[in-house]
Parts: sequence; C-alpha cells; structure tokens
Amino acid sequence: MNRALTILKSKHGDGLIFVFIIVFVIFTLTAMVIEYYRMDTMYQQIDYVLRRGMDSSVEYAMLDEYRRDRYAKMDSALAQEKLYEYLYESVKLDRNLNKYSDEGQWVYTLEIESLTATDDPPRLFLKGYLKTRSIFSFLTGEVRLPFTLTSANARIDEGGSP
Amino acid sequence: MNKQRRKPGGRFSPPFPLKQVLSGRVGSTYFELMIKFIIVITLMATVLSFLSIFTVYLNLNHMCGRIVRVIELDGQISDNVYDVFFRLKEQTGLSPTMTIEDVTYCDGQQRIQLRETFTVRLKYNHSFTVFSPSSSPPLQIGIPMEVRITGMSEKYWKLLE
Repeated sequence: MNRALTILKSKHGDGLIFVFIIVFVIFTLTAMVIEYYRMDTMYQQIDYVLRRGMDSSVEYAMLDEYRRDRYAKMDSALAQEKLYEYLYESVKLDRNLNKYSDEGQWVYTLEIESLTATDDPPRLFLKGYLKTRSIFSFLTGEVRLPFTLTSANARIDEGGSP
Repeated sequence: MNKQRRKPGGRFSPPFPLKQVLSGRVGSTYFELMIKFIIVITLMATVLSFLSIFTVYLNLNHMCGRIVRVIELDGQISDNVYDVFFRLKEQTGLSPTMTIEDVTYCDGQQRIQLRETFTVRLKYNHSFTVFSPSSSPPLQIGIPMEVRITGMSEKYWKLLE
C-alpha cells in the first residue's frame, strides 16, 4: 500500500510510458479508420449487389403482354422467387443467407426483415440488416447495418428484341 | 569603441577568409534550419508526386465501374458504352485500352441476356516522371495498371423463336 502511494505521489517520470501511450493511441486510431473503411466498402458492395438482383428480378417478372396495352404489371411471386434464386446462385449465400469466403470463413449474414412486392405498380421492396463482424467485435459484438431497397419498373414501351 | 567594433568578430569586421570559415567552429542554427527545411520540402514533394499514381489508379477504377454499370443497364455492348468510355477518357485525361471478356452473347448483336455475367478490363501504362531536368528529356518510369470488374446484365432480351 505504502509503495503504491509512493508511486502515485512520486514526481519522477519516465518518457517511455508516454511513448507507449502515444503509440497505442496512434495504432488504435489507425485500426479504427481502416476498419471503418473496410466495412463501408463492404456495405456499399453488398448494397450494389442487392440492387442489381432486385432490378433483374423485377425485369424478369414483368408481364410483357400488358406492355402492349401501355400498362405495367408484374408477377410479384415470380419476382420474389427470382430474388431468392439470385441470392443463392449468384451471390452464393447458403439457405440461411450466410456468405462465406472461398476459404470457408464466415463474412456476413443477410437478415431480411421484410420482402414485399406489388403487381401494380411493379415494385419490389426489401428491408433488412447486414450482420457482420469487425475487429472490435470483442467490445461491441456483431455489427448490424440496416438497408432499405426499392426497385420499380415503370417502362411501358415494348423492349427486348424487335 | 570603433576600434573594438572593427576587430575580427566585431560588428564591422571584414569577412573571414574561406580557410578560417571552413575550419571555424562557430556556427549558427540558421543554416541547420535552412537545410532541414529544404529536406522536408523535398520529401513532401516526393510524397505528393507518388500520390498521383494512386489518383490515376482510382480514376481507372472509377472508369471501369462506370462502363460496367452502363453495360449492365443497356444489356449490350452498344455505341452508348463506347461513347461513355470516350467521354470518361476525355474527362480523366487517361487513355486506357478496354476489353470485354468472359461474356456470352445471346445473339449476334452483342446482347447479354439477363443475369449473364461479363468482365470489363481496362489496361493503362502510366508514365511516372521521376526527374525532369531542363537540359535533357525527363526520366520516366512506366507503371502498368490493370482493373477488372465483373458485372451482370440487368436487361431481359426477348429472343425470337
């Protein structure tokens, strides 16, 4: 006890401890910036991939015969089915919507809160969370990033091949 | 008083001969500061010039991403794609070569069916100027750069039976 008091009251110092603290702060800040950038890039990429999947699902499920009459209508069940097909086959998620790297390491999980589709107007609406892990997971736990995406098709002219 | 000022080392003393200056141990931090300043400026200029390499790479990456997006939305390698490519070349000042590979066309008109993938590859040789003396041509290093981005068609082509 006396020794601790002596150390606390002592006015002698060592510059090495100060250097250690500065190095620790610099390393922590660098790690935070790199981790933030990594997660932001991953989020942007997944957002892009999901958007592409939703657009193509809506495009596929459009009922072309209605376009002849200048009317846009979609098979909403087919659009939802195509979106899941895209997630499984193109994004390569498993049945629980987990994504693993080529080395078999877990990368993220898609948590779909709601997926709604309307025939008229043709629209697909996806809301959910992206669950992933960061290097600070031991402090904060797993990170959940929300996303809300909408894809609509309002084209009423005939497309595709002539 | 005047005599005192005129003696060697005084305020109005004549300059030291070169030999004395070189062997003299009297110094000033002013020179040290000047040398340090020159070194710092040189280092900063070197670092900043290296940053241009990353800027070029980012521009190339951006170009490739934009072209991929145009093909995704168009669902074909149309004139629109080359138009965007040339406009991006003008804007960025880069002149890369573009190749589209790993692609399966659904007919003879370079159309890519919905959810078919393709890859756009941009190659560029960046000339990084290391040193540009006024009397001779600049010393340059060619840095090869390559960006590959895979996209997926978002257009459904209704093919004739």
